[in-house]
Amino acid sequence: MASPASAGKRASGWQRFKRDRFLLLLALPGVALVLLFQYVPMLGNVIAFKDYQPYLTIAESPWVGFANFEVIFNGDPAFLNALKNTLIISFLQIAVVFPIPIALALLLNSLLSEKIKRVVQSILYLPHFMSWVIVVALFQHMLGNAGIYNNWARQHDFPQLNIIGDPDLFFALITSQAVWKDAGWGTIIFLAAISRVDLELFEAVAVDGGGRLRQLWHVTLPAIRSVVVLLLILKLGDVLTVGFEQIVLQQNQVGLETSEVLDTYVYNYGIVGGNWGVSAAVGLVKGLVGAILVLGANKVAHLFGERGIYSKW
Amino acid sequence: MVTDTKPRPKRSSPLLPGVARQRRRRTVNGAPVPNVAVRGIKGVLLFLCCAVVLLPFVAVVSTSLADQEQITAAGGYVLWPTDPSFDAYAAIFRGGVVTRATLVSIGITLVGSALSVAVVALLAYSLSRPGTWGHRPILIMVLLTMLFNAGMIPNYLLIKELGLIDSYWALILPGLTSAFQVIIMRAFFMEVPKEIVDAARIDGASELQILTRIMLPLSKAVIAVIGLFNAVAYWSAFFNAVLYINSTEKWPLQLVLRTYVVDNTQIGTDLPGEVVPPQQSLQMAILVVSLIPICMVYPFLQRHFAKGVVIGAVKG
Amino acid sequence: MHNSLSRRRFLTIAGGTAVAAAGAGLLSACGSSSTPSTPDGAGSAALPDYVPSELVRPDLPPTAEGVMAGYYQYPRQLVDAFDSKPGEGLGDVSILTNMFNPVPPALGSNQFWQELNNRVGANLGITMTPSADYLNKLSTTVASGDLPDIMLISARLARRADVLTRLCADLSELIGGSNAANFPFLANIPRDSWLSTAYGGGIYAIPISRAIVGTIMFARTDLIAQRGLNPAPGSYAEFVALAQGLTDARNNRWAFGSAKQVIAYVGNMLRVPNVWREEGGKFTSEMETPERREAVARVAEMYRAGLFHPDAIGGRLQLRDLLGNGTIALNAEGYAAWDILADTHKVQFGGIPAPGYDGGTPVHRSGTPSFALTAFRKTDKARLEKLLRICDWLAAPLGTSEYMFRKFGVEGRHWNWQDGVPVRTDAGNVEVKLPLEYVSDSPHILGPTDRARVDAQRAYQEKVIPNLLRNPSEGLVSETSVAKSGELTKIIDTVELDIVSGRKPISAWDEAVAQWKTAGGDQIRAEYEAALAEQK
Repeated sequence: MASPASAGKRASGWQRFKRDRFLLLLALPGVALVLLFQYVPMLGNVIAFKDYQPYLTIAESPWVGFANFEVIFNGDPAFLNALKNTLIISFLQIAVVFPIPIALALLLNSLLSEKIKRVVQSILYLPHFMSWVIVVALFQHMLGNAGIYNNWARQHDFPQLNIIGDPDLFFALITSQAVWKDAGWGTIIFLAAISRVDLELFEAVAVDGGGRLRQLWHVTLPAIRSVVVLLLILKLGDVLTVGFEQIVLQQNQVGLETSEVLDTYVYNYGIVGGNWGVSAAVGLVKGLVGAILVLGANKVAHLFGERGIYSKW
Repeated sequence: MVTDTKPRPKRSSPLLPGVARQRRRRTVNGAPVPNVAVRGIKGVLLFLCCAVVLLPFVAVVSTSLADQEQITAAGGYVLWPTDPSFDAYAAIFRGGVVTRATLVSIGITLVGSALSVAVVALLAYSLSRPGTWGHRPILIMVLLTMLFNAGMIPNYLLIKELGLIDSYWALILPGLTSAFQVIIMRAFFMEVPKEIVDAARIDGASELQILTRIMLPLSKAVIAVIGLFNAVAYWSAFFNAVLYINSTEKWPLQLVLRTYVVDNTQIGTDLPGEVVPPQQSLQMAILVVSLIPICMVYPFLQRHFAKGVVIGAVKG
Repeated sequence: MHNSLSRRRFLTIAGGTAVAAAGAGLLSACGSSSTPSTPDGAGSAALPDYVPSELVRPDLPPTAEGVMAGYYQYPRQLVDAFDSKPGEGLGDVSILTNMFNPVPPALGSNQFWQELNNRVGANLGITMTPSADYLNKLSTTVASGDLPDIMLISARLARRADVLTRLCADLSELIGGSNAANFPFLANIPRDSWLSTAYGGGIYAIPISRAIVGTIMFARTDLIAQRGLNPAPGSYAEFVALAQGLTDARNNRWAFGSAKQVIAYVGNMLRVPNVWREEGGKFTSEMETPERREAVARVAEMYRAGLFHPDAIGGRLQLRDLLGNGTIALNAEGYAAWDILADTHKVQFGGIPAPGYDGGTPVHRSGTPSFALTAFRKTDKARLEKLLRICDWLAAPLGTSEYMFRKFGVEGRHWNWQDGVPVRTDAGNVEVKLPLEYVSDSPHILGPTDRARVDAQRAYQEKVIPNLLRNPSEGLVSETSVAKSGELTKIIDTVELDIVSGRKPISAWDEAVAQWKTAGGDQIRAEYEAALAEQK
């Protein structure tokens, strides 16, 4: 019997179905759960085209066409500003926040002492479990204009560091908060990828006289490349979603020019006023953009010979 | 483990021209020991990272042990408790509500994570074989759930129609599948050398045997990671319980703790008549309490993804 | 059932008394409006007559204008307000409400809850939700169509009027006008609080009442005395002098910690309208008045003068702690914070009434007279009456055994007298945390606590209530004001902080107000004017 992967390409649909029926059976629980708990409620997104109010049923609510999408397509300069900020922050997320856990994972992996490695790792992942409210409060308590440093500096005639509340530093601030909170947590997946590397490969390089840099370059990086590419592609699906809670907590300190993002812009138009239709409409548009980006990026990855999320075939 | 004794398939690597193992440098984990300068720089770097993370945590723990006077004097966060007291912790655990909720949360987390890992692993495995009938549509269907979400109200109506209101299953079932986890796990499965799988198949191993005897042992790391992700997700979830669970005795820990935490920076000005517990120490104690179980579980899972796997060992 | 009530003498105050002080014809119009009767021939939509309960005499009686009753100590001779169980025969009663407290043990292990059910005569199934999540819980419950018997309708619920009038029971037949006397403790809730319960000829809820006094500018009176400053500034200039005297940046001491409330405070000096001004049926928004603009400009000046905590602009500050430790010396908050501040911090606090800007008469902006509303699922009249009776029972005032039970539990198990004060036991601290005050409650009172504090609180209210300025839109329905609240509030809040912090010049105010008008402000005005015209 030949391997299904190689022999299957020419087989007819029915033959392949029969051949793969056991594999498909394994998928069944997951597929059923996805359909029931994700897709069935997703039908409710029809309220994007309705003036939905909870005291009416979805069916009873009147159709309003694309009125709920107006908030996105009305060309409001405030919206365009929010879009611009969102894209800048997303870019920073990908360019700065994304690679740091990879670097950190490589650094951790290169540690010799298994014990130190574990302790350090355990410490670094802790902030992930703090809510943004507390993270923001702690940052302010340390670095605020009346934070620990600045209060001390004011009393001792040292220069003040106005970090929080300076619009020019806002992007830097939220980026560093994101790194502080999630960089350690982010290493986990990469460490798992590195751990899969066959130890024999490391040894082989060593035996070959290769140094640690060569190991990194020829063994470790190739081993995690596919995971990195995969996460990067998935990250693109989120470009229009940047930390709502983190930003909304700190918006007033710097004003909306620098801090308004898509989610905070929409929040006051939809969610606060109980405008469920607008929330659903925005969700649909964001999903659509995300889908285009993810599927597009996947295609690009194929061009570079990467597997991406799903293979060409 | 697998009975197959076929020679291990060669992995193509430009650096691996089947070197004979003669010369050995001093190595740890198969890696040569670097020089002192590099180690020094690394040490300083990691020490700084840890310090930056730990300092605020010291403030959190200190504040949880401080009394109102110290907190008032410090203006919110105490950096070092001069006269530590466990009053805040005593207040949290008084009356047994938190203890009960902890047990509820542990139950939900254990059952939820175990089922979730199973469902995700099965789905990921069945999608990890290119050429399988329907694998692409299924994969895209799963992927789209990452991008499109249902609203709160349709979700609630579904749970209600299923008769799951006030049932623990309402907290477990909706979170069992995660597109992100399926895609990650599938990617790890696909990295398992095809030759090993093919060889097993030729030997007559069933799909289930391949999964349990080859895929899972070789993927301990990713299973630990997915298990951790699920455990953390189930452990920290509270919003579904707000909507779906009416009986407070079925509330998970995070929801119970949420009733202790009121953001009084907002309440104070908005709602003139509402009296809120002002203790900052209580809020910090809550953070500490909700962190402890995670800190306890982590080392067990960490073992599996912090250490390498020797693929060769599996072929037996 | 009512024979215990008949012993009592009721002081009936004519419908409009409480609002005469406001000088707004609209409120009394509410009371006397006779809209067409409801389909089943019920009476007019008169609001419940205000009948202050005389069951227990306060040391300082409440005034018709809205000064709260004050008590120096807990009455030791408790009166039984009811001689029968209010919910006898109701069986299971489902209640949905929010809470601000740690969750209490469930019914099975909560003797207070068990005894409550026993005293009420029904099984109260209370579903409680943390306040932060309550709106979501309520929205999904409403969407499912499966309403509980009694539910708290949050002030921020979108289309509140539709939800109340379509899904909830009309109570006007039972408690409208003089019928309120059948529920003496609901009748004890001031009229101001009832305004938002009436919609198009019906009364659809009972209010969770709040005192009209609203926000108070709290000050560290000890710091003021210590520095020899004037604790009762008579004008804006004197107030600024006080704030300057309290600021010592080098030693990390500032006058204020938050800008928003200071703008409202200076607005009181300048006689800014309370959200809206109504004259001859025409509404003017506070945003459109030059006084409001000036208040923002003045606060921006104070900010430039360094009177604000450096993180005051949008910072996440623990303002109460900062006031307690003297980092800031002035902070405006809801009236209930007075006791919290005084009980938490062993320093001296007081309230500073806003002076007139140039020494003339200021206004005192009234608070929102209700926190939320309690509504009922539609059901037959007999059941509805009993549900209301339970709410009446839950609103029994201080001095009744019902009050002491619902606030403190069972004497001996949950609390004990200690120097004339009920002190909770550990069991009391844990079990007596049911959010009953968000189902139905008696109006807030001053005290009982030490005499000096009650006197200070009372004196403050007696000083500001004569200048009380009510919000003329209270009780009028504008869907736009709810639906657009997020957007409109954000426009104003943002520009205020932009101007105060110096990010933008004061001219930005005019642009923001224009934006505010087109984004919904003008529409709200039109809706209020139409609603008022309809009532007349």
